[in-house]
Amino acid sequence: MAKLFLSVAIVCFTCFLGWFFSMKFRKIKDFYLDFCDWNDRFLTELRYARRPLGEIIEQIPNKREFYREIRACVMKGEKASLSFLSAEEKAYCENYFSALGKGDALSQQGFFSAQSEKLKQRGAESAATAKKQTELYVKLGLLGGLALVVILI
Amino acid sequence: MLNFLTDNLKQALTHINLNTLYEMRLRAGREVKVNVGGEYLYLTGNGTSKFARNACRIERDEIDEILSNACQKSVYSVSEELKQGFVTTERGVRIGIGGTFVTEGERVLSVRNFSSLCIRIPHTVDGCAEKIIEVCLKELSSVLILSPPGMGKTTLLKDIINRLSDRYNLLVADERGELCEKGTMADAIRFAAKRTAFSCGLRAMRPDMIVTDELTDEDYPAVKKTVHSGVCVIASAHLESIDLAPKNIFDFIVLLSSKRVGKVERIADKAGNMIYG
Repeated sequence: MAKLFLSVAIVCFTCFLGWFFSMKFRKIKDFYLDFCDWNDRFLTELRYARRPLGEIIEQIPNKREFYREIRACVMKGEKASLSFLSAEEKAYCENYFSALGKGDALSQQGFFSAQSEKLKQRGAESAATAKKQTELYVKLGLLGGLALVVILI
Repeated sequence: MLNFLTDNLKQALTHINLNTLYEMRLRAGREVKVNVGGEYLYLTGNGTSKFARNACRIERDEIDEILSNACQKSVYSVSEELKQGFVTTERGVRIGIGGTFVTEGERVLSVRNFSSLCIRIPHTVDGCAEKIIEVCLKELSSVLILSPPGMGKTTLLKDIINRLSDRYNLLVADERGELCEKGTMADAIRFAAKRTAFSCGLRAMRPDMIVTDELTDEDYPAVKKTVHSGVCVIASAHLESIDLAPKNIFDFIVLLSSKRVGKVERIADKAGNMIYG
Protein backbone atom coordinates (compact mmCIF):
# COMPACT_ATOMS: atom_id res chain seq x y z
CA MET A 1 0.00 0.00 0.00
CA ALA A 2 2.80 2.37 0.97
CA LYS A 3 4.54 1.59 -2.31
CA LEU A 4 1.40 2.47 -4.24
CA PHE A 5 1.06 5.78 -2.44
CA LEU A 6 4.75 6.53 -3.02
CA SER A 7 4.44 5.68 -6.74
CA VAL A 8 1.42 7.98 -7.13
CA ALA A 9 3.23 10.75 -5.24
CA ILE A 10 6.32 10.43 -7.48
CA VAL A 11 4.24 10.52 -10.67
CA CYS A 12 2.23 13.52 -9.42
CA PHE A 13 5.44 15.30 -8.51
CA THR A 14 7.12 14.73 -11.87
CA CYS A 15 3.93 15.79 -13.68
CA PHE A 16 3.93 18.94 -11.59
CA LEU A 17 7.57 19.53 -12.54
CA GLY A 18 6.61 19.17 -16.21
CA TRP A 19 3.79 21.68 -15.74
CA PHE A 20 6.11 23.99 -13.82
CA PHE A 21 8.84 23.97 -16.47
CA SER A 22 6.30 24.77 -19.20
CA MET A 23 5.22 27.91 -17.32
CA LYS A 24 7.37 30.12 -19.57
CA PHE A 25 5.15 29.28 -22.55
CA ARG A 26 1.98 30.10 -20.66
CA LYS A 27 3.56 33.36 -19.52
CA ILE A 28 4.18 34.29 -23.18
CA LYS A 29 0.58 33.33 -24.00
CA ASP A 30 -0.76 35.55 -21.19
CA PHE A 31 1.55 38.33 -22.29
CA TYR A 32 0.14 38.34 -25.81
CA LEU A 33 -3.40 37.95 -24.50
CA ASP A 34 -2.95 41.15 -22.46
CA PHE A 35 -1.09 42.80 -25.34
CA CYS A 36 -4.05 42.22 -27.73
CA ASP A 37 -6.46 43.41 -25.05
CA TRP A 38 -4.40 46.57 -24.51
CA ASN A 39 -4.15 47.29 -28.25
CA ASP A 40 -7.95 47.06 -28.67
CA ARG A 41 -8.47 49.20 -25.60
CA PHE A 42 -6.01 51.82 -26.83
CA LEU A 43 -7.62 51.94 -30.28
CA THR A 44 -11.00 52.60 -28.65
CA GLU A 45 -9.41 55.39 -26.62
CA LEU A 46 -7.94 56.92 -29.78
CA ARG A 47 -11.34 56.85 -31.46
CA TYR A 48 -13.32 58.33 -28.56
CA ALA A 49 -12.04 59.53 -25.20
CA ARG A 50 -8.36 60.16 -26.05
CA ARG A 51 -7.26 60.13 -22.42
CA PRO A 52 -3.54 60.38 -21.69
CA LEU A 53 -1.66 57.07 -21.46
CA GLY A 54 -1.04 57.34 -17.71
CA GLU A 55 -4.75 57.72 -17.04
CA ILE A 56 -5.65 54.71 -19.17
CA ILE A 57 -2.95 52.47 -17.70
CA GLU A 58 -3.73 53.41 -14.12
CA GLN A 59 -7.35 52.40 -14.55
CA ILE A 60 -6.47 48.87 -15.59
CA PRO A 61 -6.36 46.63 -12.51
CA ASN A 62 -4.41 43.91 -14.30
CA LYS A 63 -0.99 43.49 -12.68
CA ARG A 64 0.37 40.78 -14.99
CA GLU A 65 3.67 40.94 -16.88
CA PHE A 66 2.47 42.99 -19.85
CA TYR A 67 0.98 45.77 -17.76
CA ARG A 68 4.04 45.82 -15.48
CA GLU A 69 6.18 46.31 -18.58
CA ILE A 70 4.01 48.96 -20.16
CA ARG A 71 3.91 50.90 -16.90
CA ALA A 72 7.69 50.79 -16.59
CA CYS A 73 8.47 51.56 -20.24
CA VAL A 74 5.89 54.19 -21.07
CA MET A 75 5.43 55.99 -17.77
CA LYS A 76 8.85 55.64 -16.15
CA GLY A 77 10.92 55.56 -19.35
CA GLU A 78 12.66 52.32 -18.32
CA LYS A 79 13.93 49.74 -20.80
CA ALA A 80 11.78 46.65 -21.34
CA SER A 81 13.15 43.56 -19.57
CA LEU A 82 10.94 40.84 -21.13
CA SER A 83 13.54 38.12 -20.61
CA PHE A 84 11.07 35.37 -21.52
CA LEU A 85 10.63 36.68 -25.08
CA SER A 86 12.87 35.98 -28.06
CA ALA A 87 15.12 38.79 -29.34
CA GLU A 88 12.76 39.39 -32.29
CA GLU A 89 9.71 39.54 -30.05
CA LYS A 90 11.50 41.85 -27.62
CA ALA A 91 12.48 44.23 -30.44
CA TYR A 92 8.87 44.25 -31.63
CA CYS A 93 7.62 45.13 -28.13
CA GLU A 94 10.20 47.87 -27.68
CA ASN A 95 9.23 49.37 -31.02
CA TYR A 96 5.55 49.19 -30.05
CA PHE A 97 6.10 50.83 -26.65
CA SER A 98 8.26 53.57 -28.11
CA ALA A 99 5.51 54.48 -30.61
CA LEU A 100 2.84 54.88 -27.92
CA GLY A 101 1.68 58.47 -27.59
CA LYS A 102 4.22 59.82 -30.09
CA GLY A 103 1.86 61.10 -32.77
CA ASP A 104 -1.54 62.64 -33.31
CA ALA A 105 -4.69 60.56 -33.00
CA LEU A 106 -4.99 59.83 -36.71
CA SER A 107 -1.45 58.55 -37.21
CA GLN A 108 -1.63 56.56 -33.97
CA GLN A 109 -4.87 54.94 -35.12
CA GLY A 110 -3.24 53.96 -38.40
CA PHE A 111 -0.18 52.49 -36.71
CA PHE A 112 -1.94 50.59 -33.93
CA SER A 113 -4.71 49.28 -36.19
CA ALA A 114 -1.96 47.76 -38.31
CA GLN A 115 -0.52 46.11 -35.18
CA SER A 116 -3.86 44.55 -34.29
CA GLU A 117 -3.66 41.73 -36.83
CA LYS A 118 -0.01 41.01 -36.06
CA LEU A 119 -0.76 40.80 -32.36
CA LYS A 120 -3.73 38.51 -32.88
CA GLN A 121 -1.55 36.22 -34.96
CA ARG A 122 1.22 36.23 -32.34
CA GLY A 123 -1.41 35.62 -29.65
CA ALA A 124 -2.86 32.62 -31.50
CA GLU A 125 0.62 31.20 -32.15
CA SER A 126 1.68 31.62 -28.51
CA ALA A 127 -1.58 30.01 -27.29
CA ALA A 128 -1.01 27.01 -29.57
CA THR A 129 2.64 26.74 -28.48
CA ALA A 130 1.68 27.00 -24.80
CA LYS A 131 -0.91 24.20 -25.19
CA LYS A 132 1.47 21.99 -27.11
CA GLN A 133 4.45 22.56 -24.82
CA THR A 134 2.43 22.14 -21.61
CA GLU A 135 1.06 18.81 -22.85
CA LEU A 136 4.54 17.71 -23.91
CA TYR A 137 6.18 18.70 -20.62
CA VAL A 138 3.44 17.06 -18.52
CA LYS A 139 3.66 13.88 -20.60
CA LEU A 140 7.44 13.89 -20.18
CA GLY A 141 6.92 14.38 -16.45
CA LEU A 142 4.51 11.45 -16.40
CA LEU A 143 6.90 9.20 -18.30
CA GLY A 144 9.83 10.30 -16.15
CA GLY A 145 7.77 9.64 -13.04
CA LEU A 146 6.81 6.17 -14.23
CA ALA A 147 10.43 5.39 -15.09
CA LEU A 148 11.48 6.53 -11.64
CA VAL A 149 8.81 4.35 -10.05
CA VAL A 150 9.99 1.33 -12.02
CA ILE A 151 13.63 2.00 -11.04
CA LEU A 152 12.92 2.71 -7.37
CA ILE A 153 10.14 0.19 -6.65
CA MET B 1 3.13 73.38 -11.97
CA LEU B 2 6.26 73.41 -14.18
CA ASN B 3 7.10 69.75 -13.72
CA PHE B 4 7.08 69.19 -17.45
CA LEU B 5 10.30 71.20 -17.92
CA THR B 6 13.71 69.60 -18.30
CA ASP B 7 15.82 69.09 -15.17
CA ASN B 8 18.26 71.92 -15.93
CA LEU B 9 15.43 74.42 -16.44
CA LYS B 10 13.72 73.27 -13.24
CA GLN B 11 17.03 73.70 -11.42
CA ALA B 12 17.51 77.21 -12.85
CA LEU B 13 13.98 78.20 -11.85
CA THR B 14 14.66 77.36 -8.20
CA HIS B 15 16.48 80.73 -8.07
CA ILE B 16 13.40 82.65 -9.23
CA ASN B 17 10.30 83.66 -7.30
CA LEU B 18 7.63 81.80 -9.27
CA ASN B 19 4.96 84.27 -8.16
CA THR B 20 6.62 86.89 -10.36
CA LEU B 21 7.31 84.58 -13.30
CA TYR B 22 4.78 85.30 -16.07
CA GLU B 23 6.27 83.74 -19.14
CA MET B 24 9.11 81.62 -20.51
CA ARG B 25 10.32 81.79 -24.09
CA LEU B 26 12.16 78.77 -25.39
CA ARG B 27 13.71 78.81 -28.87
CA ALA B 28 15.67 75.89 -30.30
CA GLY B 29 19.39 76.57 -30.19
CA ARG B 30 18.96 79.86 -28.34
CA GLU B 31 19.08 81.24 -24.82
CA VAL B 32 16.02 80.95 -22.61
CA LYS B 33 14.20 84.20 -21.80
CA VAL B 34 11.80 84.70 -18.94
CA ASN B 35 9.35 87.45 -18.10
CA VAL B 36 9.83 88.19 -14.44
CA GLY B 37 7.70 90.96 -12.98
CA GLY B 38 7.01 92.33 -16.46
CA GLU B 39 10.67 92.47 -17.55
CA TYR B 40 12.23 90.08 -20.09
CA LEU B 41 15.52 88.64 -18.84
CA TYR B 42 17.78 85.72 -19.69
CA LEU B 43 17.50 82.64 -17.49
CA THR B 44 20.86 81.55 -16.07
CA GLY B 45 21.90 78.77 -13.76
CA ASN B 46 21.87 81.22 -10.85
CA GLY B 47 18.69 83.17 -11.60
CA THR B 48 18.29 85.84 -14.27
CA SER B 49 20.55 88.20 -16.15
CA LYS B 50 20.15 91.07 -18.59
CA PHE B 51 22.92 89.59 -20.70
CA ALA B 52 22.89 86.45 -22.82
CA ARG B 53 26.28 85.37 -21.43
CA ASN B 54 25.88 82.32 -19.12
CA ALA B 55 22.21 82.00 -20.06
CA CYS B 56 20.63 78.53 -20.25
CA ARG B 57 20.28 77.33 -23.81
CA ILE B 58 17.67 74.98 -25.13
CA GLU B 59 17.96 72.47 -27.97
CA ARG B 60 15.32 71.07 -30.26
CA ASP B 61 15.23 67.64 -28.59
CA GLU B 62 14.64 69.36 -25.24
CA ILE B 63 11.70 71.23 -26.76
CA ASP B 64 10.30 67.88 -27.91
CA GLU B 65 10.85 66.45 -24.43
CA ILE B 66 9.09 69.39 -22.76
CA LEU B 67 6.11 69.07 -25.10
CA SER B 68 5.93 65.33 -24.58
CA ASN B 69 5.97 65.81 -20.80
CA ALA B 70 3.41 68.62 -21.02
CA CYS B 71 0.94 66.32 -22.77
CA GLN B 72 1.75 63.44 -20.40
CA LYS B 73 3.54 61.53 -23.15
CA SER B 74 0.28 61.36 -25.09
CA VAL B 75 0.44 63.70 -28.07
CA TYR B 76 -2.76 62.19 -29.50
CA SER B 77 -4.70 63.49 -26.48
CA VAL B 78 -3.91 67.10 -27.43
CA SER B 79 -3.80 66.83 -31.22
CA GLU B 80 -6.76 69.19 -31.72
CA GLU B 81 -5.14 71.86 -29.53
CA LEU B 82 -1.80 71.33 -31.26
CA LYS B 83 -3.41 72.16 -34.57
CA GLN B 84 -4.46 75.49 -33.06
CA GLY B 85 -0.87 76.10 -31.98
CA PHE B 86 -1.02 75.47 -28.26
CA VAL B 87 -1.15 72.85 -25.54
CA THR B 88 -2.59 73.34 -22.07
CA THR B 89 -1.07 71.24 -19.31
CA GLU B 90 -2.96 69.45 -16.58
CA ARG B 91 -2.35 72.39 -14.24
CA GLY B 92 -3.59 75.05 -16.70
CA VAL B 93 -0.22 76.22 -18.02
CA ARG B 94 -0.65 77.26 -21.63
CA ILE B 95 2.18 76.51 -24.03
CA GLY B 96 2.14 78.28 -27.38
CA ILE B 97 3.97 76.38 -30.12
CA GLY B 98 6.07 77.52 -33.04
CA GLY B 99 7.09 75.01 -35.69
CA THR B 100 6.14 73.74 -39.11
CA PHE B 101 2.38 73.62 -39.60
CA VAL B 102 1.35 71.00 -42.14
CA THR B 103 -1.74 72.30 -43.92
CA GLU B 104 -4.22 71.22 -46.56
CA GLY B 105 -5.99 74.29 -47.87
CA GLU B 106 -6.84 76.25 -44.75
CA ARG B 107 -7.00 73.15 -42.58
CA VAL B 108 -4.08 72.36 -40.30
CA LEU B 109 -3.30 68.64 -40.46
CA SER B 110 -0.49 68.52 -37.93
CA VAL B 111 2.47 70.39 -36.51
CA ARG B 112 6.04 69.10 -36.73
CA ASN B 113 9.59 70.34 -36.14
CA PHE B 114 8.71 72.23 -32.99
CA SER B 115 11.15 75.12 -32.79
CA SER B 116 9.87 77.45 -30.08
CA LEU B 117 7.61 77.45 -27.07
CA CYS B 118 5.95 80.30 -25.23
CA ILE B 119 5.04 79.06 -21.75
CA ARG B 120 2.55 81.31 -19.99
CA ILE B 121 2.35 80.70 -16.28
CA PRO B 122 -1.12 81.38 -14.89
CA HIS B 123 -1.50 83.28 -11.65
CA THR B 124 -4.37 83.71 -9.28
CA VAL B 125 -4.61 87.23 -7.94
CA ASP B 126 -7.38 87.34 -5.36
CA GLY B 127 -9.44 90.50 -5.63
CA CYS B 128 -7.92 91.74 -8.90
CA ALA B 129 -11.40 91.93 -10.45
CA GLU B 130 -12.77 94.02 -7.57
CA LYS B 131 -13.23 97.17 -9.68
CA ILE B 132 -15.02 95.34 -12.50
CA ILE B 133 -17.35 93.56 -10.07
CA GLU B 134 -18.05 96.82 -8.22
CA VAL B 135 -18.84 98.84 -11.36
CA CYS B 136 -20.28 96.28 -13.77
CA LEU B 137 -21.42 93.19 -11.92
CA LYS B 138 -23.53 94.38 -8.99
CA GLU B 139 -26.29 92.61 -10.87
CA LEU B 140 -26.21 90.24 -13.83
CA SER B 141 -24.71 92.04 -16.84
CA SER B 142 -22.70 91.22 -19.91
CA VAL B 143 -19.13 92.48 -19.84
CA LEU B 144 -16.36 92.47 -22.43
CA ILE B 145 -12.79 92.97 -21.21
CA LEU B 146 -10.33 94.34 -23.75
CA SER B 147 -6.55 94.53 -23.83
CA PRO B 148 -3.57 93.48 -25.91
CA PRO B 149 -2.17 90.00 -25.12
CA GLY B 150 -0.47 89.46 -21.79
CA MET B 151 -2.16 92.24 -19.84
CA GLY B 152 -4.05 90.06 -17.35
CA LYS B 153 -7.43 89.33 -18.96
CA THR B 154 -7.37 85.64 -18.10
CA THR B 155 -6.32 86.33 -14.49
CA LEU B 156 -9.20 88.82 -14.17
CA LEU B 157 -11.67 86.32 -15.61
CA LYS B 158 -10.43 83.65 -13.19
CA ASP B 159 -10.99 86.00 -10.27
CA ILE B 160 -14.48 86.85 -11.55
CA ILE B 161 -15.26 83.12 -11.81
CA ASN B 162 -13.99 82.46 -8.28
CA ARG B 163 -15.98 85.31 -6.80
CA LEU B 164 -19.25 84.93 -8.68
CA SER B 165 -19.54 81.17 -8.86
CA ASP B 166 -21.06 81.00 -5.38
CA ARG B 167 -23.71 83.57 -6.25
CA TYR B 168 -24.76 82.53 -9.77
CA ASN B 169 -24.90 79.45 -11.96
CA LEU B 170 -21.78 80.15 -13.93
CA LEU B 171 -20.82 78.21 -17.02
CA VAL B 172 -17.23 78.52 -18.20
CA ALA B 173 -16.68 77.96 -21.92
CA ASP B 174 -13.04 77.07 -21.42
CA GLU B 175 -11.72 76.54 -24.93
CA ARG B 176 -8.07 76.37 -23.87
CA GLY B 177 -8.54 74.71 -20.50
CA GLU B 178 -6.97 77.53 -18.51
CA LEU B 179 -9.92 79.36 -16.96
CA CYS B 180 -11.66 76.95 -14.68
CA GLU B 181 -9.67 75.86 -11.65
CA LYS B 182 -10.40 72.80 -9.58
CA GLY B 183 -12.66 73.49 -6.64
CA THR B 184 -14.74 76.34 -8.07
CA MET B 185 -18.52 76.08 -8.09
CA ALA B 186 -18.71 76.88 -11.81
CA ASP B 187 -19.68 74.37 -14.49
CA ALA B 188 -17.17 74.04 -17.29
CA ILE B 189 -17.15 72.91 -20.89
CA ARG B 190 -13.49 72.46 -21.68
CA PHE B 191 -11.66 72.34 -25.01
CA ALA B 192 -14.82 72.76 -27.09
CA ALA B 193 -15.14 75.53 -29.67
CA LYS B 194 -17.04 78.49 -28.23
CA ARG B 195 -20.00 78.03 -30.54
CA THR B 196 -20.38 74.42 -29.43
CA ALA B 197 -19.93 75.29 -25.77
CA PHE B 198 -22.46 78.13 -25.96
CA SER B 199 -25.16 76.12 -27.70
CA CYS B 200 -24.67 72.96 -25.60
CA GLY B 201 -24.32 74.88 -22.36
CA LEU B 202 -27.36 77.05 -23.02
CA ARG B 203 -29.58 74.05 -23.66
CA ALA B 204 -28.20 71.67 -21.08
CA MET B 205 -26.80 73.64 -18.15
CA ARG B 206 -29.26 76.56 -17.77
CA PRO B 207 -26.58 79.07 -16.77
CA ASP B 208 -27.15 82.59 -15.43
CA MET B 209 -23.90 83.68 -16.95
CA ILE B 210 -21.34 82.29 -19.39
CA VAL B 211 -17.68 83.21 -19.01
CA THR B 212 -15.23 82.79 -21.86
CA ASP B 213 -11.83 83.98 -22.99
CA GLU B 214 -10.48 85.56 -26.18
CA LEU B 215 -13.46 86.15 -28.44
CA THR B 216 -12.83 86.51 -32.15
CA ASP B 217 -15.07 87.94 -34.89
CA GLU B 218 -16.46 84.47 -35.64
CA ASP B 219 -17.63 84.08 -32.05
CA TYR B 220 -19.75 87.25 -31.85
CA PRO B 221 -22.91 85.78 -33.51
CA ALA B 222 -23.01 83.01 -30.86
CA VAL B 223 -22.43 85.54 -28.07
CA LYS B 224 -25.15 87.81 -29.46
CA LYS B 225 -27.60 84.93 -29.63
CA THR B 226 -26.78 83.97 -26.04
CA VAL B 227 -27.21 87.53 -24.73
CA HIS B 228 -30.51 87.91 -26.62
CA SER B 229 -31.73 84.69 -25.08
CA GLY B 230 -31.33 86.28 -21.65
CA VAL B 231 -28.06 84.77 -20.47
CA CYS B 232 -25.24 87.18 -19.62
CA VAL B 233 -21.78 86.75 -21.08
CA ILE B 234 -18.49 87.82 -19.57
CA ALA B 235 -15.69 87.60 -22.08
CA SER B 236 -12.35 88.99 -23.11
CA ALA B 237 -10.92 89.96 -26.47
CA HIS B 238 -7.61 91.09 -27.92
CA LEU B 239 -8.56 94.65 -28.76
CA GLU B 240 -6.78 97.83 -27.79
CA SER B 241 -9.64 100.31 -28.05
CA ILE B 242 -13.27 100.45 -26.92
CA ASP B 243 -14.23 101.74 -30.39
CA LEU B 244 -13.17 98.41 -31.90
CA ALA B 245 -15.52 96.40 -29.66
CA PRO B 246 -18.81 95.10 -31.12
CA LYS B 247 -21.77 97.35 -30.43
CA ASN B 248 -25.09 96.45 -28.77
CA ILE B 249 -24.05 93.12 -27.31
CA PHE B 250 -22.38 93.89 -23.99
CA ASP B 251 -23.70 96.08 -21.17
CA PHE B 252 -20.19 97.17 -20.27
CA ILE B 253 -16.86 97.30 -22.09
CA VAL B 254 -13.77 97.33 -19.90
CA LEU B 255 -10.44 98.48 -21.31
CA LEU B 256 -7.31 97.41 -19.47
CA SER B 257 -4.15 99.47 -19.36
CA SER B 258 -1.54 98.49 -21.95
CA LYS B 259 1.20 99.57 -19.56
CA ARG B 260 0.29 97.96 -16.24
CA VAL B 261 -0.88 94.35 -15.98
CA GLY B 262 -4.46 93.97 -14.72
CA LYS B 263 -5.17 97.71 -14.27
CA VAL B 264 -8.61 98.88 -15.43
CA GLU B 265 -8.16 102.01 -17.55
CA ARG B 266 -11.68 102.77 -18.72
CA ILE B 267 -15.19 101.35 -18.55
CA ALA B 268 -17.91 102.26 -21.03
CA ASP B 269 -21.60 101.41 -20.82
CA LYS B 270 -23.77 100.05 -23.65
CA ALA B 271 -24.42 103.52 -25.03
CA GLY B 272 -20.69 104.22 -25.20
CA ASN B 273 -20.63 106.62 -22.22
CA MET B 274 -17.50 106.46 -20.08
CA ILE B 275 -18.54 105.56 -16.57
CA TYR B 276 -15.04 105.02 -15.25
CA GLY B 277 -11.61 106.43 -16.16
